[in-house]
Amino acid sequence: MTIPPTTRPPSELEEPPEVPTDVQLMARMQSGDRAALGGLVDRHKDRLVNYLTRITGQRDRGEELAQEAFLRLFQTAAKYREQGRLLPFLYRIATNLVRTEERRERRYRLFSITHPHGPSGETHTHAAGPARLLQQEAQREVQRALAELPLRFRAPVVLHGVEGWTYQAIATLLGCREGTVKSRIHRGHQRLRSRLQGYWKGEGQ
Amino acid sequence: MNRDIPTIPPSSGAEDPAVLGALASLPREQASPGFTAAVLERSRTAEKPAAELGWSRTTTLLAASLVLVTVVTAGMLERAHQKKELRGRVDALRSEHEMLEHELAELKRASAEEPAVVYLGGDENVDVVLTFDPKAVPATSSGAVAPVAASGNHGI
Repeated sequence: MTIPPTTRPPSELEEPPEVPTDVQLMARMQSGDRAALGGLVDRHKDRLVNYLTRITGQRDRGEELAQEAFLRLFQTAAKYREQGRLLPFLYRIATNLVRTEERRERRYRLFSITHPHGPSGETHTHAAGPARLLQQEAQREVQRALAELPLRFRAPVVLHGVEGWTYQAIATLLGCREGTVKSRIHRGHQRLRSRLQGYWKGEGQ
Repeated sequence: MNRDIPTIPPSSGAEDPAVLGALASLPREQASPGFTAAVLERSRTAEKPAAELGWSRTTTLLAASLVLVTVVTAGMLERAHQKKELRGRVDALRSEHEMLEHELAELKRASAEEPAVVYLGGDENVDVVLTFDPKAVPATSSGAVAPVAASGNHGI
């Protein structure tokens, strides 16, 4: 069974099918409906993959963690209490997965987040001219700088600067005060600026 | 943007515009084509979590605490048992030592009070005895006892 996506081409809107809301899909999933999971995945996969790619600095890892987050959502659906906050709930699962994984990595010293596995998958690889290559290089540099931030700064910086969340929404997700979120974003930006300053200056010369 | 996530106002104060611009320049990643199918496949094969099996977090914590208490108690009991066993062995050694000391003291006292004398033989006139008494004096007259010094020549 396929759940229609939220947006469809105009040609398909002649007989608008009833698009289930997140609340309805969650309710169905809570009763074990796997197709409802498919619907939620289809609806939110891109933004979650994007968020996790920016957080981890690696495209493949971001996608793998996004899958894991949806799986956890399915497994913990019974515990979910509807308050119109499905997406924060999903993002919290995803952020906790990253936190757990980074702790494990730190413990076993397998590899460091300051040395992500290179730019593979980080950017789209279109055949491009020098301007495009420069842009890709700049994006890689930003991504590298982002990956060097501690998660407590990285998560709010990405949620705010990439995903466009408000301080209040981030505070709810991270379970801290709005002032803390502001402070972390401010300090995160300071670190990013100090890290990128040299590159920006070099680029301008 | 999803309706349950409020979007940011144009300027929120804490951010650095240059950094914000750099972040905004990052491309939007999209899930691969097989993403949904992969999640559904994993949801079929994944084991049911503890919560679904009726194991709440509290139950799990209680079970873990119970195991911990059991292990600690068993360890303490084992240690107490070992201590008790060692104490018993020490007591046995101590009493044996006391007994030996007592026996040694007895022997010393006996040897001090009454020197050992062994009757070797004799006739109506002479008794030949072996004595360990260093003060014993050989007999010179008939009918006397003739002691034999343990350390010297034996004679009548």
